[in-house]
Amino acid sequence: MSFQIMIDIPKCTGCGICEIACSLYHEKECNPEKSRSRVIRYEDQGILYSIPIMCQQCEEPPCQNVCPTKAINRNQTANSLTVDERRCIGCRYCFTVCPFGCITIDPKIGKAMKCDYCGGDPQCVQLCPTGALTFVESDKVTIARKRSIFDKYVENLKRLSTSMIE
Amino acid sequence: MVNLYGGHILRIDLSSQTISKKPTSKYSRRFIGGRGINAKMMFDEIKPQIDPLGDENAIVFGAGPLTGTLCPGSSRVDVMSKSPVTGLLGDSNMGGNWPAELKYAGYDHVIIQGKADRPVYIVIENEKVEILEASDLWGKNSYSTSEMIRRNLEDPDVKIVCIGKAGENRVSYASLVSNIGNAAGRNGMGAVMGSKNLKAVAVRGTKGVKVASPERFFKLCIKLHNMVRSAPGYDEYSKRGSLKSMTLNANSGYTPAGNHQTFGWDRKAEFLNWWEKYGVKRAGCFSCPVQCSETYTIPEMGSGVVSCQHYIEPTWKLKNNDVRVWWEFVRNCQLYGIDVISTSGILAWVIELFEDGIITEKDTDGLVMKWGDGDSIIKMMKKIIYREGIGDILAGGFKEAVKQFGETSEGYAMHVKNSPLYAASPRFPFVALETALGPRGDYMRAFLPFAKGIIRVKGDPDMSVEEKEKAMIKYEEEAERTVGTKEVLEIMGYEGKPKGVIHAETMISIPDMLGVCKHMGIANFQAFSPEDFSEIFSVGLGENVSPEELIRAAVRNRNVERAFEAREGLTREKDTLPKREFNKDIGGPYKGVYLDPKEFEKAKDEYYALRGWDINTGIPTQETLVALGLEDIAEDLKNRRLISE
Repeated sequence: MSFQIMIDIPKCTGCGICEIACSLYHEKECNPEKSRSRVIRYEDQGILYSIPIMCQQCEEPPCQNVCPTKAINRNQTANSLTVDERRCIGCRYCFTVCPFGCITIDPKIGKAMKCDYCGGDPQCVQLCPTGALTFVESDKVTIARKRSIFDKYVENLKRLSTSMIE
Repeated sequence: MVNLYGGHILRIDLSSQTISKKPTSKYSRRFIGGRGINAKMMFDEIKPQIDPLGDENAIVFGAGPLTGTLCPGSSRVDVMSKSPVTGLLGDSNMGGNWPAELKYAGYDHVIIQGKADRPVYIVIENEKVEILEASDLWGKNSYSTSEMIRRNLEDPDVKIVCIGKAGENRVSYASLVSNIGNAAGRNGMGAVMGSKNLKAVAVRGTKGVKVASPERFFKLCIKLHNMVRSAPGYDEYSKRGSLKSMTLNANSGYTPAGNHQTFGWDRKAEFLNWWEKYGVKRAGCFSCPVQCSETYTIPEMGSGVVSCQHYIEPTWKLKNNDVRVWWEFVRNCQLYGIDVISTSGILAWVIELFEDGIITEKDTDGLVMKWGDGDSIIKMMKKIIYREGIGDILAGGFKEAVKQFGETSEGYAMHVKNSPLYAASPRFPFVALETALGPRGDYMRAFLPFAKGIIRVKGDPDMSVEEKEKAMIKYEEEAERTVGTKEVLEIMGYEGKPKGVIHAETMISIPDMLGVCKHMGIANFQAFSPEDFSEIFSVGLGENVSPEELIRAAVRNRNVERAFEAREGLTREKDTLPKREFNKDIGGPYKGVYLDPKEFEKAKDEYYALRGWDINTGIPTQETLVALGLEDIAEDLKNRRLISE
């Protein structure tokens, strides 16, 4: 059974726990700059908007396809694409072609780093407090996504009817 | 780099335009970090009796060793300066994303001294620190200021704290704000920034925080996150914020209406509905699983983020029911950088003075001040921010305004040490003691959890009888364990209260020193004990710091702060409440019960004795200071003849 991370953007508040967790788990320090997944924040008129940018482990991954040294391969058990650091030459081709910008370049050694679902148990999901990140079975992800949008719709509907009663 | 610490204290002198740094390690062992180190630096660096708005004052920002880590609620910074409101130690703590960023840039503390000769702002980008021209930012509100700085620096990820018009105009209770709803609101930190011609401090850091045993630290953080997320109240706070707690406070007789006059009023302000109707989404600080704040957009009025006192102050204190008046008020606080608590307190005072004829339209520039009257309230607020007409006097706080309005008006002024009171009734002995003994006119440096918790538990309509009993048993156990007596739970009694207040002050000081939100510990969630704080701190640091050592550091911290205040002239007599709080019945669920001055003074005796302070002066004794390893402070106070051997 394979799983994938589902992102529910409106639930993200930009707390960044996923970023600190990722860097601490993989790079042994608390540093969002070294996180494989990032939260992009945008502040406007007193509001913080945020979107988690996370590797979706593409079915036809451009990063894997362009890698000249075959350093990116699929880990079948975790259903994730992982970088073999020994093979990576730091050419940054993967970094350039990823449509979501999900390849991180290690600032120290210049090689590619990317989300590997922590080998099948993503730590960021475990710690995400708002449910913006969930780890869902691949064959149920479509209905899960639809339901998350539906929930939002119901919430708005309830709110609308409350204000109409008043 | 040292584990957990950024490693450096950054010093910026705006007069000489010099920048230097020194290691944090000189202070960290005894004073831990954050508020602990801040207080010691204030004692060491600020000469007594200086003008808080003169160039001799400094403003110190202190992140803690856990700031910026995976520890829940760990993006806090403690801000200290000599307060233009109280003339004592000004202390205000803020969250957001700025504190963690400061750590990532490699700094634990920033001390800013001197005065720039023209408006400037500071940019800290890892090692690169610059003082830049801010004439184009001067006069801009906090939203625009942040936007312009990000554009100037061509960096959308820079984190900013700044002042607004109120700080520029040195309104004594002006606040320091972020552009996303965080504020160091109390004690006039914004006015100090304004007096230095300092508009903003922008920070960008990419260095991260190192921890000693990453695997163990990670596992421990997961445990702590789970503790917070399973704490009672988490669901409520993370979904609807402090709305329910504010409503319970207000209904339980804990929140006074008007100028601390009555319990009830014709209130329709129902915050819960405001959130349902106008709320957009949850908001909160970096690295916090609670996200206790609310984002609002009210049609044609703009957006912003609010929580806690934002709800209660401009409604209950000003008896205002109108959501639009409320929103304009709290949004002005954020845009112009002014303390919501102090401004509401001053305006409540003005309204009552007007009502009683102590002042008239001649004094108010023609404004007819009335309870709940949005028009005059907002106009007066703007006058204060812009220091126009009567606003110029009110901007100086109670002390200045009493000079203008006459001695009678002092009897109406609800303040502690010139700092306007929280909307919390001090007729309950624990609130009375916490408020009177602290320097800020509020109890947020103490916050006796069980006593306040009980008032809420009793009035919570959503709790079943069994749940209430269970909660009470938990409180009883905690009271026995920490204060040694269940009697402390008796809301109107004094038994155990002084010891309870000391326990509460310690439990606030520990997270304040470590750079963690106090709500993770004693306040709303009661999730972490000193043992938990000690464990996470020790594992991250790679050195054992026992719970007892943390508690001792908290006691040391309180004594350093008190010594600073003693040097500024704080005595036992000033540890009091406005006269009208005594022997006054404001009705409500606790009708007929009020504060007895004799009992109150007796409890103070007990508090000073337990603290090892002189009962007559309220100043720490030589013996107490020396036992805490504060020989230098004892020497200083002795030379000033504040204490004897």
